[in-house]
Amino acid sequence: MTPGAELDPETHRKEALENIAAAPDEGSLEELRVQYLGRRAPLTEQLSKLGRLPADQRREAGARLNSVKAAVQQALYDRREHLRGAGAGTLGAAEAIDLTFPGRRPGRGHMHPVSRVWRELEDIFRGLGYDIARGPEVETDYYSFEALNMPAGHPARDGFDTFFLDTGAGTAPAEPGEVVAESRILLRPHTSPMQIRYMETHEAPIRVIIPGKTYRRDNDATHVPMFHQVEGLLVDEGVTVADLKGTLEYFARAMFGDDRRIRLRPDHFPFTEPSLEVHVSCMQCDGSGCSLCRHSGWIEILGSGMVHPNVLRFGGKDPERYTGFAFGCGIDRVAMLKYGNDDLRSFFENDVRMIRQF
Amino acid sequence: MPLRISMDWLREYIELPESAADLADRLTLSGTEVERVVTLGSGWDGVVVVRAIEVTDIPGADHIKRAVVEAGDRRAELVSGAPNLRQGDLLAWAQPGTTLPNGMTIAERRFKGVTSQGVLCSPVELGISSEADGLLVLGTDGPTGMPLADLMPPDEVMVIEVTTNRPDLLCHLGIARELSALLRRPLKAPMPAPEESTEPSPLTVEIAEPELCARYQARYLYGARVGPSPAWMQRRLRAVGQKPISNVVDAANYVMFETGQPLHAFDAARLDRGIVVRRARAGEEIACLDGRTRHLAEDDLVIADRSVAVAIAGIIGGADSAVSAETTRLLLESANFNGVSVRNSSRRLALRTEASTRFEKQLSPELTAPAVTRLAELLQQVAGAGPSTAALDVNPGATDAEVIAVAAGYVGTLLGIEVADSEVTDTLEALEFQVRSTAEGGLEVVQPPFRRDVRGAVDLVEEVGRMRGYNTLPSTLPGRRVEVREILPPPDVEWQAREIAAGAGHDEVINSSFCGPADPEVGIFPTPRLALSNPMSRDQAQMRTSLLWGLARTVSRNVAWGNNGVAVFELGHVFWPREGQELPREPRSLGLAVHLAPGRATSDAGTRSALLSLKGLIDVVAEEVSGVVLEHRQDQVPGLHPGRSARVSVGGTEIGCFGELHPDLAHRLDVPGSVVLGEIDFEALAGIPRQIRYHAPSRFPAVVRDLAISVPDLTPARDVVEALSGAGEVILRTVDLFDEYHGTQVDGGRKGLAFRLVFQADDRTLTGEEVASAEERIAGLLRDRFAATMRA
Repeated sequence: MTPGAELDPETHRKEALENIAAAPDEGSLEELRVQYLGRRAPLTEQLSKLGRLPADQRREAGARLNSVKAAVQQALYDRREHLRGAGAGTLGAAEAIDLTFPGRRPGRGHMHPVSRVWRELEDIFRGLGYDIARGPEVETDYYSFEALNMPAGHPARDGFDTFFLDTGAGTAPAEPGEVVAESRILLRPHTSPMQIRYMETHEAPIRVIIPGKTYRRDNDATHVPMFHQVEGLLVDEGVTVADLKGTLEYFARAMFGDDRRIRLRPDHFPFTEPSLEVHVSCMQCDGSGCSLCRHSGWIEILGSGMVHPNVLRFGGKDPERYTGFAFGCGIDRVAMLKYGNDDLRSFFENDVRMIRQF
Repeated sequence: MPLRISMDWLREYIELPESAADLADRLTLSGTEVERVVTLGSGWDGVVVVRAIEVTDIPGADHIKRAVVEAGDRRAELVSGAPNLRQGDLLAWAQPGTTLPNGMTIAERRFKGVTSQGVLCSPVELGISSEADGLLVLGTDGPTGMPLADLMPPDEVMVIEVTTNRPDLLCHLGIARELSALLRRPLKAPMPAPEESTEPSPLTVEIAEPELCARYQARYLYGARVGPSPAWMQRRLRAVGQKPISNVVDAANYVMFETGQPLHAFDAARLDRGIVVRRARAGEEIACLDGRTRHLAEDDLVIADRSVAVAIAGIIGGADSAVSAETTRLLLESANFNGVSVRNSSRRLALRTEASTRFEKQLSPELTAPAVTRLAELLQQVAGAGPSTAALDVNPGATDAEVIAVAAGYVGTLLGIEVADSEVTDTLEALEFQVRSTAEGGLEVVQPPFRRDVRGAVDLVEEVGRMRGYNTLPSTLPGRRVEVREILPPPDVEWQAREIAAGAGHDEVINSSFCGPADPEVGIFPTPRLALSNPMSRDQAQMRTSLLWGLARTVSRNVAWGNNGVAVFELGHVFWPREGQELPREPRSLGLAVHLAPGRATSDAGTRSALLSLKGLIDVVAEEVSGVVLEHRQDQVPGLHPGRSARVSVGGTEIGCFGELHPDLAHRLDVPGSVVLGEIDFEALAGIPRQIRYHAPSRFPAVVRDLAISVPDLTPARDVVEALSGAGEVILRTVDLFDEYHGTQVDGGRKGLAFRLVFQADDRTLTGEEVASAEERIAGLLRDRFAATMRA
């Protein structure tokens, strides 16, 4: 085509696209790019002359030329991609690595399921502004029973199946008829002794949870002699049963899922009044009834209540001024429910095939 | 033990068109937990009342007998192994094809050549009772051949768990009273009116221990005729799990299950002059109703006549004064005993009875009068007894009812909602409390005699809360504006330690805190162990002082399960007794253990590598948690390999150890290969908070030089490293001992050590001369101190 000659856009486009499609490599493709789209290319020249055309022809001519330019650009791009793909074919075959081979995992260990739940509990209550405390597993009778409104001979003591320590001096196992002395040493059968210890050393308002090991003489599919509990204690002015309900509902939903509901059932513990057992709607059947919830739709998860005025007094808090609530929850039980394990003992056999699932 | 409540019996005292299932939820959500509802009479199709007319031994069979039974005009032959199979008794016969409540379908079976045409049923098989106790015996008199359901009409039984503070609910009247308040329906309590004589009682009553017996009431009746109790009474007692015995005993039991007050009937003819409530004498014994003789302790309270003990107070009656077929004169006991005393005796004697479980929860002395009056009335009805004397009543423990003050608005304030005064009053009155308004707008509340558990205003909040239903409360979060005080500490460093150990490939285990005298001491904490006085077994009789043996055992168990090469860790408490202190020290301890499977891992090089990895992991934990550098000293440690163990300390205080488990102990655990393990007192680390201070890295180039030396074989590598680090060369920034070798390249008796030394200054580029002279000084020091030779 001679310079200055009128360019037929359609013919020009056809010729360019045929040449581009036939380009054998990226080098010749670059030559074609200069030939059709370079500074001196006819299409470029025509475009630069558009301004000289009368206004009424300018728009139509411009649109035609620009559509040819766009088509050539697209063809160049497509052909380049095609040529590169073909080149990759050779490199791919030469240096291929089969990435469908199983990934190589770092040698990562796993936390025990009870630890996982324990940590989650701490996180939930830390978020509500609770302190986290720990207390002794070997405890005195005073903190375990006496100061919790269970004086010697109280019938509720029987339910705790307590382990006692041999305090030396050749003391034989206690005679059941013997009056239990205040200094008797035992393995705490619940985390509640820490209610008193914490109140003794902290001013109100108090918000604390105390997770830890507890011990009872018990051994079956849902009881082991060593287990884990978390105690909660909140003492302040104006604390209500509705606050207890709200707090435990928050906990249940945070732990078991936002769509869980809770139910309160009156119960009796000597150290709280009123005392309430907390049930959560069954996480397996959502309340319609299944074997997990024994067809009741509800699963008991913890015991709770308003701190008994006598217990507040033992902790050095004036029950005329302060009220509070407390709760005790089995961490292992939460783990069983959360992960669907119905044999508590399996958690403590420590088979790493169990632990590695968490 | 759970309480059984018969719906048929309950309807005696309150109108209840509802089924037991409908009532169960109401009761449960008000605090009386109904565990389950048992339907009596379902699965009884095909069960027929029969009489055993002939009972014979089966030749060659010791434990089973053959019985011929009569069912109307039919006869059947049956085989039974029950010890109480007796000729003449009325029994329940499940015919072939019957499906019993426990799901068992009955078929004909042959035993020793005798065909049993079905089975004779026990109360367990019929769903009446949960305790195996031979065959269900339906008395001796009466027709046969009709369905069992005709003799025992269908009933529903609620199995209820009553909390220890509510002994008033351990009876049908108590549950009826609770339902009456819940449903606001009238209660129809019995108003007993026995025929009374004006004659004085021929026997006297004396309480020698008023502290242990607050009240003793007795009634004397003539002319009783002992025999079976009527069918309705037997049916109700069976429904609640009691075995009918005789009209007198059954009536006493009946009144206990009606009113909650345990009662006892003595054969008055066998009592010497009267009753004395006293402590047992040293060496005293009593033959009890259950056929066993018990030795009494001086703390035990007994009921005695003027010469011997005739009952253990509140627990069980004596055999010698028991009602028998010949009995005609009765002394009825209705007493109130100290709960702690009954509980202690019951525990010491390992004997829990329906009576003791009630008394130990401390009953009200007010209960005795209506109960003994009711029993006298019943005995006149069912045992043909004559008029009763007026009740002898020794009542040393009479107390006034407590008045509980409740401030205006208190109930709602504690619940967290508005509660109208009228709701409080109405609820408490429905529960038989007396309520008076005070001038200040509060209330004065008087407990009914059977509600001794209600002592303070907070107990009354519970009464209102449970009657209204706690689930109607809103869910709120507590909080008010308070001044800033102490800030909450960050998450405990133990989580960081767990992350590091798990990140290094160790799985976390939780071993038992218990150990036994046979478990060896492993580790550096050989303090005497705490011992339990009531362990569950001998191997769980002590508290662990170290985690190591438990970890070794866990490794060994895992290997037995096929988990070769496991790496585990534990972070838990150990227990160290403290001289002169009531409670032990309970530090948290961090333990790590790795199994080395036989083969390359247990070669010297493999074991060395595993031990150094474990050591490095312990070092990393200490550095991350506390920012401390641990010191290690090669030394023997109990339970570890003598040549492959070291003690770990920080700031001169020993806090742990690591090494290979002693081969003898590995052998004892039967673990193939070996175990490397280590432990540190995590409490010591947790007590040192890590302080992080930033140092700008040098911007001038570092000079790296490798240094190879040979030293005498027994030179500890640590000494050489410390000498280099402590040589006073300020430009020597790091000393990395990266290799140790023996063999042809070094002379005999010596070993090679290879170091990488990095020289750097913060303020300039080092010159070649500076580095070379530092190297020279270092070489000189190594020659002088360790007789080292430099290698090219």
